[in-house]
Amino acid sequence: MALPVNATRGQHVWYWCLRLICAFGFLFLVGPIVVIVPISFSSGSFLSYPLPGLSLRWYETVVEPFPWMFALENSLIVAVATTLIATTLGTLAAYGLTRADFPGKPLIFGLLISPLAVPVVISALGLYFFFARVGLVQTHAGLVIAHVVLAVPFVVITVSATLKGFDWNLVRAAESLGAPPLAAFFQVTLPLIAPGVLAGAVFAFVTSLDEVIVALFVSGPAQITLPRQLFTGLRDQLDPSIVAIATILIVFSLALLAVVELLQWRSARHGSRRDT
Amino acid sequence: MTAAPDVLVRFRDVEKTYDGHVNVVDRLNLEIRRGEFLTLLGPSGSGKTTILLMLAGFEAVTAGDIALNDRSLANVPPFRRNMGIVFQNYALFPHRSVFQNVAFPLVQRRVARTVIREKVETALRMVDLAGLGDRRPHQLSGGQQQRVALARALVFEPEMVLMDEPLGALDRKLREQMQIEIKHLHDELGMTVAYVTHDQGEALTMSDRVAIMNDGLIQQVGTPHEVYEEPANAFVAGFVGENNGFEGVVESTEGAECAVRLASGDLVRARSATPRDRGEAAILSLRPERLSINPPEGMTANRFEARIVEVIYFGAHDRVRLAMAGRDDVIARVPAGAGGDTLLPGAPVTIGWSSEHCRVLAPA
Amino acid sequence: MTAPAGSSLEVKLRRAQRRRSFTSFLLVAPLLLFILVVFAGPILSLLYFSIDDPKLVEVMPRTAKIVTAWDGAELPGEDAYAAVVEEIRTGYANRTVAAAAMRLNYEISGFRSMVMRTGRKIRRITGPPYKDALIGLDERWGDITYWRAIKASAGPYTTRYLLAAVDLERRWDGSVAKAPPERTIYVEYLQRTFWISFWVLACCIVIGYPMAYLIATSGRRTSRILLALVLLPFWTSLLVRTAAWVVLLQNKGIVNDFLLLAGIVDEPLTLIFNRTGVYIAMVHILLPFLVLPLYAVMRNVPPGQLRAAASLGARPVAAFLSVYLPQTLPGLGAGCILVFILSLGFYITPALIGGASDQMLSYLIAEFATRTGNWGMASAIAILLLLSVAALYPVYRGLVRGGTGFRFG
Ligand SMILES: Nc1ncnc2c1ncn2[C@@H]1O[C@H](COP(=O)(O)OP(=O)(O)OP(=O)(O)O)[C@@H](O)[C@H]1O
Ligand SMILES: [Mg+2]
Repeated sequence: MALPVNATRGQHVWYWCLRLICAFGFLFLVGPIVVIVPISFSSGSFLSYPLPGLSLRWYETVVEPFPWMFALENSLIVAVATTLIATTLGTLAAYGLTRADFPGKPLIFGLLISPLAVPVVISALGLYFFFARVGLVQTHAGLVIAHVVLAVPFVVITVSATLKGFDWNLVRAAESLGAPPLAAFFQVTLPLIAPGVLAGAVFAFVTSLDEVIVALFVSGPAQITLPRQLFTGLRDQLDPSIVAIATILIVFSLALLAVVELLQWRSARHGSRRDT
Repeated sequence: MTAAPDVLVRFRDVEKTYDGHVNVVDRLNLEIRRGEFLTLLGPSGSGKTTILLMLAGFEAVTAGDIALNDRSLANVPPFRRNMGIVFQNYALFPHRSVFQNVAFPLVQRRVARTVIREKVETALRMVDLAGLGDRRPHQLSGGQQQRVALARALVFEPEMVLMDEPLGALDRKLREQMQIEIKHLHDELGMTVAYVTHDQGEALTMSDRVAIMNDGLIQQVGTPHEVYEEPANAFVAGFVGENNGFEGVVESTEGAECAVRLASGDLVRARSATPRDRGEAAILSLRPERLSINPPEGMTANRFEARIVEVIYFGAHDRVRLAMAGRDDVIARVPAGAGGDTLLPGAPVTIGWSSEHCRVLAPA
Repeated sequence: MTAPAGSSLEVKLRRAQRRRSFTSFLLVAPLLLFILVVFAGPILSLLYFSIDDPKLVEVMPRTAKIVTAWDGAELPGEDAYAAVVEEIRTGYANRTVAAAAMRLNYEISGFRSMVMRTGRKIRRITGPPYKDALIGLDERWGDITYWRAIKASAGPYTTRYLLAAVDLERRWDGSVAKAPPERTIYVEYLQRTFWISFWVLACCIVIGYPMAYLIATSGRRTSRILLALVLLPFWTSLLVRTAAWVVLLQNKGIVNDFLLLAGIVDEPLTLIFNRTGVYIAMVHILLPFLVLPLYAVMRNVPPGQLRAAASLGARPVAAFLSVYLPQTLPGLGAGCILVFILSLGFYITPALIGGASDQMLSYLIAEFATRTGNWGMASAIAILLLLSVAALYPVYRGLVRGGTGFRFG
């Protein structure tokens, strides 16, 4: 966005208006996330500036076993299980979908990613009714199954996208050199699509870790997850320990952002060398 | 039915269709002999790659059968066929080092680690890549990648090696160098090679035999000399090497020789390669190097008046474009300087050729 | 190339292809089965639950049968009263009557306690005539509207939930009419849901379009940094972002502190637990969903085009409208629909930042499902929401096919 040298007055006004909007937009996006971080180090219990002093007391609350560490543990158990299942099922499906044509392929693809298109409340409602009938309400297994439903489309999409640029001659080469199909998959295909699989896994992990609506519907007191505890905390007793947890999660998402950028950069590099 | 002992692969009435309507390979009957270098030569889309893929087991044959050592390959999966393949884009595994790439087939065969090391190193030395084992494929030049692919296809001493335009991505000089190297490897190792190319020069210099394909059909199988000097039909004559083709009608035949009347009224004496009867349409095929300009009196059975249209300098030879018999695209090739300075555009000349070198073929 | 000899070739070809297709399909099958059973099935079952009405007929089958046959014009006969007495008696004894009473209460509030009270006193009725005895216990048993409510609840299927979701109800004579005012809240929720989504989208466009343009036209380094600024909130937990706004927007929060300090206002503004807060937080959460697809499209518009248009004599505004905007429309369209669809389903943010009058359809679904246990109503509203989204989805597909190359996520 550059102003031409011979800009008219009107252009100047427009230019600065747009710059102002952009500045506001970026501030608006990042400001709130940044501004709350220092509050987590406050020694007082008010959620406003100026801070009465600095301390780590709210982080000490956070590492108490109850409620936060309990919720964190639940969240991690569920997220790890979700990631493993969703990544396995999603990668297999994406591989099968790109490997050969069969009738109804577009329809199947659409069906597999449909949980993305349906508002989460509706998915949660359907899952809740279903779980109520099969006895999965208020179980860890139920929560994991529900999260796999929500997370698996991301795996299918990222792995399919990676496979689109995949050189199937490599599989042929591997087989011609004596590798049975399964060996060819694990020794050649999987290592090469690993960035896509990993990106899908990260998406799945984040989806589960951040999910609250389904958790509100199908989980019980024994399955309280971090987002659910945050939800309750925000509604009932608002204190800086929530901000401390939020800060930890912000740092975590920064790290994930870095990981995903790295993965995309790496797969882009691989892709560009494919046809040499 | 027993095959002659030297036949390694036999295609019997093989057909292939991808869409159920068009046969991209049709009525293929071909034998590949043990130890020979057989090239499939043909224009783009003629079905060469398809034949290799069927042989390697990546495409099912729609009809007919392929036998290796007289045993049908129908139910043998690719990974048990024991054929080394060199792909056009090499298909090196980008996530593995050169060493690991070459070791791959041996690892699959559970060869002992010390043996692997030894064999891989021998193979890399063989293709002049000793010491580059730790590189990744993308750290190599195109020619080096090509050699890795070659080493990988040879290291496990496969029953035969399939190469699909392996030199297509290289520049001309490198390509010629690699042609020689591959030929040497073939001579040294005595392996059987099925080689695909659409470059006729490559096919002629490298092969023991050449199979010429067009539209899914084999047009002719023979030694390079045979397909060049004795093309079986007009397509082969036109596709392999440069060729002057004249259309005409057979006027008379006497033994191996016949006379053909061109549309311009000129009468040409030629050798009948395919039997044609009187009154039948025919194509005359004449290689440019067989056409002499101002030949000594009595040397050639055919003599015509012509005019030089253009002389193009080609280094070792000149290419002379001539006008005769109502057309202006007749090509002659003469050694550089052979004509002195008489070869000037517009100059009238006499041209001639012996009936021996002019072949009568059926129209395509 | 020639045609294959016979159709047997085609058969063989099919068989070979089918084998490969089949092994590929086997890889897809586990996930497909999983999604069908755990997701597609349950979503479809919402349709069933929205018309399923088993409560009364389970507990009081005889009554249900009699009132179904009854025309509803005048009070039913003695057999209906006899059935009610007997079935309330047994239902009260084995504690099943409460479910039926609950169902009746959907029709007329107060019916539940009326049934339960009748159950408590049912011992006093020892023999016929039941009609007089029952009216003696509670005179409302002589009121025909209560009998019509029983008829409406007699099941086993009903359209009442679906009709109620659009503020309609079925009268005792079978006609469909507008529901009484105390129950006409659902259309208002629907309108509000669309209204909030619309304004959130409008704000996103106004802020997001220039932002995407800036990112797309900046140098490599700057654009990477700016993009990271959009991606950071995109990756941050929705609850963390909502929490941030709760902290910021309080009466004594940072935003008000700033406004007071800058002298823009004299006393703190109410920014939370009202519509303003909901708009602010939702725009914050959805803005990246507009910026990212827009950016993906703008990046592919050749930068020389505006200059070329200018060199051909176009004024800046004309050049923008005729050259730049049309090329970014697919991305803008995709982003808009994405933001709109996502905001239609919002639940957490309005629940935490909005007041009672800022809740959207999702809130109703959650309330009915988890708090009042009214599966029928929850399903009916879910179908309403799903239809709203489904109506927009083909548009989104069309726009994305139109070549943005952006994929969700
Ligand atoms: N997987 C496929 N599906 C459908 N048709 C195919 C497929 N592969 C090849 N064909 C068709 O089969 C015919 C022969 O293709 P093939 O690849 O064997 O040709 P080729 O001789 O190797 O050509 P080139 O020299 O260009 O590599 C072509 O018409 C091609 O379009
Ligand atoms: Mg080919």
